[in-house]
Amino acid sequence: MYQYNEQDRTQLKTRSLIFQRQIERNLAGKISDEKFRPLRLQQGLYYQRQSPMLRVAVPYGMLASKQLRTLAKVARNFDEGYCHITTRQNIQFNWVNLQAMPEILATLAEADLHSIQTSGNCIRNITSDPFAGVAQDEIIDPRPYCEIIRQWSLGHPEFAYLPRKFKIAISGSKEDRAITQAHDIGLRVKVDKERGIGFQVIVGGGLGRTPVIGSTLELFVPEQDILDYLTAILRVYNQHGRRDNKYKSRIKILVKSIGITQFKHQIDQTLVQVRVYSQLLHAQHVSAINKHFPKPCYRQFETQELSQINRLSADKPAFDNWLNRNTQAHKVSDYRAVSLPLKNPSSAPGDVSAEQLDRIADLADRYSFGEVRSTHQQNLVMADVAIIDLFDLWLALDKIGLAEPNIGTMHDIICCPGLTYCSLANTESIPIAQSIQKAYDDLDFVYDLGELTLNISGCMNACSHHHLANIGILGVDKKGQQFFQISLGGSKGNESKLGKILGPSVSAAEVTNVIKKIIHIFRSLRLGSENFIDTFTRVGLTIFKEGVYGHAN
Amino acid sequence: MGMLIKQNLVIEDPWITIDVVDRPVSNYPWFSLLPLLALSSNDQQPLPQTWLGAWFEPQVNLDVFSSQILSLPVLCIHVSDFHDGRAFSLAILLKRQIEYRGELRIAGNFLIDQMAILRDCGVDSFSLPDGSDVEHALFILNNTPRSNSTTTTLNKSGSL
Repeated sequence: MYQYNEQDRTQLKTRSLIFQRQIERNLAGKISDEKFRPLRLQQGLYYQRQSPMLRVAVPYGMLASKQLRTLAKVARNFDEGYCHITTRQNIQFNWVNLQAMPEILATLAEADLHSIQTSGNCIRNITSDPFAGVAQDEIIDPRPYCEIIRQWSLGHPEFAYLPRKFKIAISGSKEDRAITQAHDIGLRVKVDKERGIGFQVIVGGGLGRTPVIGSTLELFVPEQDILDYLTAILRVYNQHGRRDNKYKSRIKILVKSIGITQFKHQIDQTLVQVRVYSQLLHAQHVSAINKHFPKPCYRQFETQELSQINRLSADKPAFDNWLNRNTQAHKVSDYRAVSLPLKNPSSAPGDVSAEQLDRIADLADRYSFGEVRSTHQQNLVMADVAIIDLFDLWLALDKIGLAEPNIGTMHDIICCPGLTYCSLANTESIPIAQSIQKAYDDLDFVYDLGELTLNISGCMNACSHHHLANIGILGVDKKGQQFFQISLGGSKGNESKLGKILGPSVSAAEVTNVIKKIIHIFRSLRLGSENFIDTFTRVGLTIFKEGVYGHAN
Repeated sequence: MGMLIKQNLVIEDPWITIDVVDRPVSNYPWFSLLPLLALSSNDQQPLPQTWLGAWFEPQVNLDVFSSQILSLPVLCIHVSDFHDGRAFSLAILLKRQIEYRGELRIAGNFLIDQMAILRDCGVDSFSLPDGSDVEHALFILNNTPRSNSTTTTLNKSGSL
């Protein structure tokens, strides 16, 4: 992964020093809360319901074992012993205090971690495929481009005060696992026989109050032009995005209001300006960054060694089950990528404790070249595990509660912090997730349902991406009461789809029963081992609606 | 007289901002910063041989910057809301696209903490209200590393 140089470290130290002064000035009343707000937000510091919350950037989900230990240290010394993986691959500490910020930032900086631009109206953390570099369907490893764009966007002076936040995701494989269509800008790496490497540029996607699937702005922008192209999009947005209404200020609203054709025309005009000071991305720069992402020293094994795994999985059904559910094929045939689910029903989805982090760091050092990735599904991934090590890793993960074989099932719920922590939330979301997990505690039954995504957001901001879930749950406030709106049929991938609202919202007490009815209907309509989304696409919404609410007449 | 930070020095600002023009432009004394509209509507006639400057808001249309306006020694972006990042793009456009060679100034409701990034966008001087924390302003300017997001690898010649 990318290794910081002295210049990177000096920049971090300076930013921390400046932020420390800004905090002191705020505490001394020298800068008002209103003026301090954008400064603390750009440093990832939110004021939540019960405590300030600090969001730490995890660039495109890559974490070194040293960084995991540092996160554990922060969780232990400055939080309540755990942290939380977000749906944008970042880490949140929910219980920090303002006075401790300088010390926290200094601790994070020891491991080249920071919280800059994890909030505020600026370019946020670049997200990507957690299986980048190892996925079998990969066209080009997207991480060097993520890193180039990370460096370009970090501290970019022109785009520090955009109309609203701005999110970029990059995918480099045949199957999009980075949700590029639900980002302000989504890039898909393409290879053209004549033009070489380039990007499909998707713009104006996003969820929240007005969910929109992004539109393709260009099918192929050559690699060398990508920074100019991004600059043009950001500049048009900075100058013309709405600033009078925060709910209409994302780029998706601008693109919708003038149409993709007119928007493209504006980009083309702006590109002429931008190219006066072109930031051409030269092959030698890409190659220098590429060197930060070398192929690990994969070992080769004898057939006899590899065959042990078959014997072990035949002997141990639990191991076999985990192998099938929580690991996936790797570019290198003797290796697999292992997912660590953070979906223990006794804690919030995405939570991981300091003890677990330390242990994961040790296991990553031993079995996965010292690296781990965070995923937008709020899990962790060890991307490079040799097949012969899988059994030992399984045993070790099981001891710390991270081998529950539930990846991709209905238990693998994506959930925002909700009213438990978040000051924007209308409703709780974590207790809903826990109630559903409890209702489906028979894993065999859950397996039988096949792939099924279930996401829960505690408000319109849709941090859990509920619009893209097969079953989406959105918390709404009705005269002070918590209600939940269910949507069905959302999906992610190359052709993302927004879910359709099932009907009137239901109370917290009713949610799990409604989910049970939906599952019952699905099972009765399912053909063979069809996945939920395929059944839904085949039969449509109405039959689910009638099954849940009864016939209209 | 207001306070000005220019080239990391605090100086008294010799320029007076005129909000509303109530007489012919030629009747204003040296070091008057006039609304851009008043000067641009005067575009057909040569400007008086005095030192005048123009101020305008971030949403100004670039077409207004005629060669006559660009010959003024001071152009000043007046920000009314520190959240409004259009000033940042405008500064870059004025300095790079239009290649304004005079002093690009910022005034109004910007944050002292934004000064370094404004500098990196091409702003040359900062007009601060009396009582501003000058020491903090200089700290920000002197300690914030210059951003290379708009320049690295990536300079005009394209060389690394």
